[in-house]
Amino acid sequence: MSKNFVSIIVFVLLLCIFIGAFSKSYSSHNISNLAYVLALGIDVGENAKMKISAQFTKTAAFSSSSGSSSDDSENIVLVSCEADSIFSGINLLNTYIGKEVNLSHCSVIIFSEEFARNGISTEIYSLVNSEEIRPSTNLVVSKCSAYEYLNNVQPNLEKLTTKYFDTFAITSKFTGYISNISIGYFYNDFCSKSCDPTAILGGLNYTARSKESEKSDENSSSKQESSSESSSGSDSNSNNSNDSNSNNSNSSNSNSSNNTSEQQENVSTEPETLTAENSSVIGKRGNENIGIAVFNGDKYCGELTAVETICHLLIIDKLDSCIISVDNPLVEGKKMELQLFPKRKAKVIASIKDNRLHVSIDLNIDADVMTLEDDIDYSKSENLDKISISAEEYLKKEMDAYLKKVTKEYEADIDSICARVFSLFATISDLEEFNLREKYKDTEYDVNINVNVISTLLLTKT
Amino acid sequence: MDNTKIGNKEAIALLVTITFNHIILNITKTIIDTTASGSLLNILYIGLITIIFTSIICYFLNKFPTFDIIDISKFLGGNVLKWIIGLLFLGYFIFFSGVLLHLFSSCLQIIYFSYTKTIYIALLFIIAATVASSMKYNAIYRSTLIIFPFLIVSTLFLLFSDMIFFQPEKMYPIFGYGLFPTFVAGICNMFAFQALAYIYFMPPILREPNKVKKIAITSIVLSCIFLLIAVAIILFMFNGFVDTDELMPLYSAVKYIEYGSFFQKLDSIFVLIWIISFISFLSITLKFCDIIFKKLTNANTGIFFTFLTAVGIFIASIWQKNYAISIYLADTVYKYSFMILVIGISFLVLLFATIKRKIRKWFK
Repeated sequence: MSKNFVSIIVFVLLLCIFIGAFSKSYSSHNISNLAYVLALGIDVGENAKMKISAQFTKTAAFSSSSGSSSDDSENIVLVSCEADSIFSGINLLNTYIGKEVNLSHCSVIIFSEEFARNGISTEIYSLVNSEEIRPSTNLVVSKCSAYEYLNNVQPNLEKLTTKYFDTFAITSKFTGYISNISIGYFYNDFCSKSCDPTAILGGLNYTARSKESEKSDENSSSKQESSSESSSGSDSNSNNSNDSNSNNSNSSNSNSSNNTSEQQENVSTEPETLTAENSSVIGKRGNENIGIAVFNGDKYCGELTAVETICHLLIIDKLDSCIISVDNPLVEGKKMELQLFPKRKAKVIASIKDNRLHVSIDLNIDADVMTLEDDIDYSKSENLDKISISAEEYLKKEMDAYLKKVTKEYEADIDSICARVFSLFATISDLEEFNLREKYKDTEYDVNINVNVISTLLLTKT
Repeated sequence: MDNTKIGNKEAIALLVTITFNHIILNITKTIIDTTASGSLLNILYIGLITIIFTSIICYFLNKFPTFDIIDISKFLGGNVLKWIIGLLFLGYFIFFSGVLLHLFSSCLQIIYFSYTKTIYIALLFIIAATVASSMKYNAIYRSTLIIFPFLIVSTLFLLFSDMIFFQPEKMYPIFGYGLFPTFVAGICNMFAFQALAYIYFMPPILREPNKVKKIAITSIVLSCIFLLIAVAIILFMFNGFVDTDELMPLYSAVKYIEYGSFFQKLDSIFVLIWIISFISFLSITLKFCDIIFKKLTNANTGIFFTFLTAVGIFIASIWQKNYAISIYLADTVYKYSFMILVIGISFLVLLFATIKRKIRKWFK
């Protein structure tokens, strides 16, 4: 009896101790005390090292009652502050929001191009060090400011912005215009001695860019107006002021027309020059992701266009299919679209000859013809062969340009070329003595692309 | 049916569970730190040496059926040696279990219980292990056998799920830092096979003591496979690992597992399995310490010694000031203590006891 009594007392005592000890951890992780960040943006700050922007969704957005809501952008909350580090900024946001800011549902981290140029190692280490950040969180380098990028994120076809962020992985598989790069991949490549990291290249689409330029025009014209008003206040001659106002309005009109024409000049429709922030996309959602941001170490060093991104994805075997436009060998002066499917994994063999890196790249690709011209028999083998040759020439040219850009211009090994010769060295000291990274920029490539046009889909003759 | 003895499968599960817990916590990190890209080669090499070593100690143990290292020391050097060996093993088991408990509790605190002090997490483990260890009919050995398939499945699941992130080129340069660190200094990585320390105490608790060799070799081979998989996962995934250390590397690998947008954050399942496995490990250690205490004092009451050991492990887990001390103890001190006590002293005791037994036989 007394033994049982002592056991019960001990049990109750321990229970009380553990309730006291663990309840604090539990209550802090209570969903009602947390504010989940959907996307985190980092810009260069004006008053501190960085400007941190965090995008939240109102919890009401998840409830069924809000299902009929037509404008989901109303549910998005964007908050920003300036601080010297990510976590001091988040702490400031904690104070403002009144809830604990939690990064466990953060889908995207955006660095502005300007910030990324100065190196992001500290921020990456801090983020990876946080238990809340998932390795699958996408990493974007934005050509506009991260705040603008986030401010323009509005779900189009999806109900929630998180659903939009989830499409990054799918888009990269079938367009080849972006690569699904996560902070986990970035961190591994960044820590590695053998390759350099990359990130998704983001920016504003045509609609958002137009709005931004309109805003800047309005700002400049209002500034000019205010300056002219102040000058007219000091000057008693009203005629002069009227003249100056008319001059100002003329100049603002000419400014806006200049901006529009500049913008149109910046618009690219060719995949060879297409990147984020120069596309012709018009749509409600103001942001877009096209291309890849290339890093040398932790510093952003340049970008890859849509076609260069396809080349990169073909080498690293992360492309399911994509559409390219090549010269039509059957109708002079016309282009034709082919849908490409990598037939088998890219064969990349690296070797060292005469103290230089030699890389042989073999790509085997199947293709379907998407665009058909009038009065051509596509069932003829010779016609399909001509198309294959045209596609091979195009891809070879683009691949050579891509490899040259990455190797000579950026000196960034984003295709893990150096790692492929590690097997030639017995020990790490042998590898270090060879100084592989220094020799990388002199790498010689031998690209062999084999395109096999299989079909023209449903129609075989026109 | 004898409920105080354990079967072959239970014994294998017990020994592999011990190594598995070390793999989760610190072993993989230590091996990769010392041998870098030569880790896989080093594991195969030390695995082979450990199998040979295990065969030798099992050969010696078979000469003394139903004797463990405490009984053998008594045979060799009387009560004095028995007490010395007994206390050394007690100290070894209690102190380093405490260090591992601190490491595991710290990891859990960082991951889940950021506002709970490590001492409470450690206390919870100790209480769970003490209760499990004091259960009758060797309940702990049977529960270990139940958990064992989960360890195998979870490790294989981790391997296949993370395979998409693998870059096999990262295993090169094959000799890592060189031949000497891989094959000579790398021998110290034998401490990965912590099950060796427990093999010395296995014969008396086995239902079939004559099968100790089969059990030991099987468990070492399984441990080697586990270790190879764990190191391969980390090496193929994190090529910058040599420069950047992580708290629990396998946990970092687990965080990468995702199946679509629905099956995310599967790390919680792994951590749950690891928690149960770690409690098993602590319970086994408590049980073995209890056996040593009983042999040293010739006493029959178990619960007091179990309680005493639990207090010892708890104290060993809470005195460490910071994580740096725990890492140093778990990586360096643990390694050399293992080499001195388990590979050195215990082996010599077995060797000399066998010689003594042979000499006695000749004189008879």
